[in-house]
Amino acid sequence: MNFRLLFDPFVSWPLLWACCAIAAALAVYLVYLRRRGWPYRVLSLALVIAALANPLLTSEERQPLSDILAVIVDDSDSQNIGNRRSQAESALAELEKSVAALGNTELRIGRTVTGTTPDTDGTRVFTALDRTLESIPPDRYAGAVVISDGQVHDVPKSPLALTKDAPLHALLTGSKNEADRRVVITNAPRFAITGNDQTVSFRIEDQPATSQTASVAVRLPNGDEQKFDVPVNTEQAIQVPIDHAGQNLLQIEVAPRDNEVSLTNNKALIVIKGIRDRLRVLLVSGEPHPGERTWRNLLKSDAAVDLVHFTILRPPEKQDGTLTKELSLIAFPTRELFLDKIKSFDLVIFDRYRMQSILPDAYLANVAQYVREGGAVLIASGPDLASMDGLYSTALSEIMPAAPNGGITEEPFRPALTDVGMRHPVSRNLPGSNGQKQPKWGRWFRLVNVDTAPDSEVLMDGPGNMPLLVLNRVGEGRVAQFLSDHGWLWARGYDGGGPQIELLRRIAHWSMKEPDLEEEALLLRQDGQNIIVERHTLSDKAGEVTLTGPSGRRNAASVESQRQFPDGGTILGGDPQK
Amino acid sequence: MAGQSWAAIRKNDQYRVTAVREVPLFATLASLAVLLLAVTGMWYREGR
Repeated sequence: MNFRLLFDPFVSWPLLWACCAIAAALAVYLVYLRRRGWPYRVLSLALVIAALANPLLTSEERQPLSDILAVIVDDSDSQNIGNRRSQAESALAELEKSVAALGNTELRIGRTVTGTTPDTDGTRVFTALDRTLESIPPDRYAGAVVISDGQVHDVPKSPLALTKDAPLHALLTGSKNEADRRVVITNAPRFAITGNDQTVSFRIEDQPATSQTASVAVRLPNGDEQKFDVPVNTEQAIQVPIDHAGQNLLQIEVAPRDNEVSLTNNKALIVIKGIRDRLRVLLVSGEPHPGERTWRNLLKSDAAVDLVHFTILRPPEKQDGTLTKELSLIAFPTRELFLDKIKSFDLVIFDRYRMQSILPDAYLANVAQYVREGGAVLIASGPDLASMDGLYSTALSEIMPAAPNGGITEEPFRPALTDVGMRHPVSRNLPGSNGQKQPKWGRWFRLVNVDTAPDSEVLMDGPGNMPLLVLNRVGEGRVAQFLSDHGWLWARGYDGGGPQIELLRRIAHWSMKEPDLEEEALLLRQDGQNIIVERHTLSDKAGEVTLTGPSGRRNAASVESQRQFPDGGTILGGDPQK
Repeated sequence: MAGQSWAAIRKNDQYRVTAVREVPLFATLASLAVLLLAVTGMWYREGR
């Protein structure tokens, strides 16, 4: 019982104070006069004032309110290491028990939530605390206990403001002699020009620090593996060749030490996006014809192409009395281009080229060698291919997927896609095809009849299913062959035209092994909480996909969400549970 | 505030008032009687 004396005057407070003042003055006057019975008068005055003031004795009936203790349990993935999770749960149970023993105290339990974006991943203790505090009246907040492994990623600038003068305790999971070794990437480029080496720096960190050496395995983007020993806690640099455009993956893995807490961070994966520098194209034109200009314009119009155009203005055997010095602009550096510098080109295009005793056969043999070593050649030919001095009579014939059989079809036809062509990334969904095998493209009028090599791919055909566009791989390089010289009709818009620019672009990029145009490709990307697995294939079935999560758990991707596309590509969507 | 085997939390001593009882001390017949007695005493004393 809490007794208190209160005054609840019958008149307003100022009036009461005024009465008091008058009474006090009167009392002083009475005391001064000392008349008979003055104590009775003073007493009466006091009693009147007391009656006006109306004293009350009050007692409150109180119900005690419990203190509230916030408990934040770290639910992040790092708690899965060892027996940390069970330690956290038993700590929580113990805490619940001792708080119950304390009496008149209750717990509010909040758990951290880990998201996937940079703002929400990691251990978000203070976010969880903030959320829990929202439901606790500030007057009753008794403090907070954080049960965590100690790594907190959202410590605010002024943590004390959040704890509101109440204590904040931490209970740490794990054990005292835990050790960990991890790979820390200190410097890695995100983008790189293909064909150059990039420097990636990393450090092996030991906690607690040691002065050992660690054995490191590095897996380069081209699949090569290097193993070496490095001292711990010192920065190392490695050279990484970037060979192709698109994602280049570099993996650095360090061998575990004793008693390691987690092996997950012994591995680091770096993605360097390769960007192709300007495309160097060598265009070798034969006899002048309307299509020559089209090829040139096409390549010249692309800012990403460095074009070297080798063209014949006048064959040397022609006798028309013109002085040679009046014909020659500059001597064409054929030897330099075809022997010394051929490897610096990304693509060599032969357009209706015939051996008019200008290039020695040895140069073309060198081009064939360039293809086998990873180069790319596109041959567009008309009747010249089968002629006596045509390209098929040279060393290039060894790498050609289509061999002329002597016939030439000369009739109007619309280039059509083959079954393979409908699926092949070079020719599928070409502009204007609308998914049809026989799109409404402009007509061509000439086709060289050929026999194709068994391992080649025929993407387009003409009348009687005769091959029109043939692709093949030779050694490490790639060859594309157009068996008509009428491609320029498309570029001119004749009979509606056709997607010549796009087709040429794709052939060029395919021959340079651009990942987007690979026939067989497995692509992964993240979309919110989902991992999208994309499979491009020329076969009818996409096959099953197995995902291995960071925990090592394998997961056959949810095949039920498999979507078969008419063009053979397949998307599998799956959320690999942790 | 914590030691080897203990940790402190804040004690807030918050309560909820469920009822208030009031006992008037002066606005009663008894206090009126005291007042009358004082006035009567004063009269008596002065009347002598």
